[in-house]
Amino acid sequence: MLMRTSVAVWLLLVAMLVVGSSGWQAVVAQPARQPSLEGFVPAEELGNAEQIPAVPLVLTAYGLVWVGVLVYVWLTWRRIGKVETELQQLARKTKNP
Amino acid sequence: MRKLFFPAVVVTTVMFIVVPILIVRAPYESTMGLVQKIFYFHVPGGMLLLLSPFVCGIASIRFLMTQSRQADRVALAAAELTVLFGVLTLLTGPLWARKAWGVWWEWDPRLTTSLLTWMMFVAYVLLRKYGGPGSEKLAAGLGIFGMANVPFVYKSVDVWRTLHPKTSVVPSLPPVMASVFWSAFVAFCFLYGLLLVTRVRLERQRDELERLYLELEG
Repeated sequence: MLMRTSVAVWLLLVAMLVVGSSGWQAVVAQPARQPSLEGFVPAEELGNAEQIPAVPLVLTAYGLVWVGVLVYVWLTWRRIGKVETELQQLARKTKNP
Repeated sequence: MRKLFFPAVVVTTVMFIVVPILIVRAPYESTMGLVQKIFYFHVPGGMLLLLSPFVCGIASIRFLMTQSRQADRVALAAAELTVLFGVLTLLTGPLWARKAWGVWWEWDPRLTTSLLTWMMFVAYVLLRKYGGPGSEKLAAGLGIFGMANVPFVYKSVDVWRTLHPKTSVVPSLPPVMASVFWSAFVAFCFLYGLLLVTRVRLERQRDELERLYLELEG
């Protein structure tokens, strides 16, 4: 009985040793962490080429707003000038037909 | 009205000098950083893109009910300004989206309905320019339809699943950012008012010119 128990304990210890050593080997043999080729990639792992610079976008947005408004004001100014000139010519014609 | 025009020009000019300084000094938003500053011009422009159709729609209703020439002039001016502010909003939005979403454009409910509203008012302006006599009544109908479309544009971000920031963003701004945003909005409103008055004046002069030509021929 005692003999059987000691054999069982020995077998258990050997089994634990084998499993433990294989686990340790798996940890040791694990390859170094590589950035994945697809799916989620943390932003800090991206190269500079992958990031979109904000400055040109912000400057373009403000530039577009200013240019848009100024072009509209200029076009309206020009249309008013044209109509006023025509009004003056017509007023002269009606005075001196 | 004329007495108020030049002080309004001065106030608007001062605001358009001061507001960019305030925007530069405003703190960076924690997640988006610098690109968030587009918001200070994009959102007031977008708000006017949604408010201007109401000016056009209400003036169009008044024109259809009373045949008032002044109401028709206001409707035409407001439609043209909707197109202008639409261009500014639809161009500055993608510049922000490129950085925030990684794409220039997404067929998202807010973007699509805004584009449709802008197209309706482009149609209004084209109809007035090339539609010939009687086009003002057709255009008035289009203006009313454009105004009716606005609540759908506004609520689109809350009703449908969308990438676009929701309507709760502006009320939840921290006080420093909110003060800069509302200053920019007031500056845009002054600009809108000035452009509207100037554009209405141009239409009045055109009517006067037409009347003189008819008098001369008759």
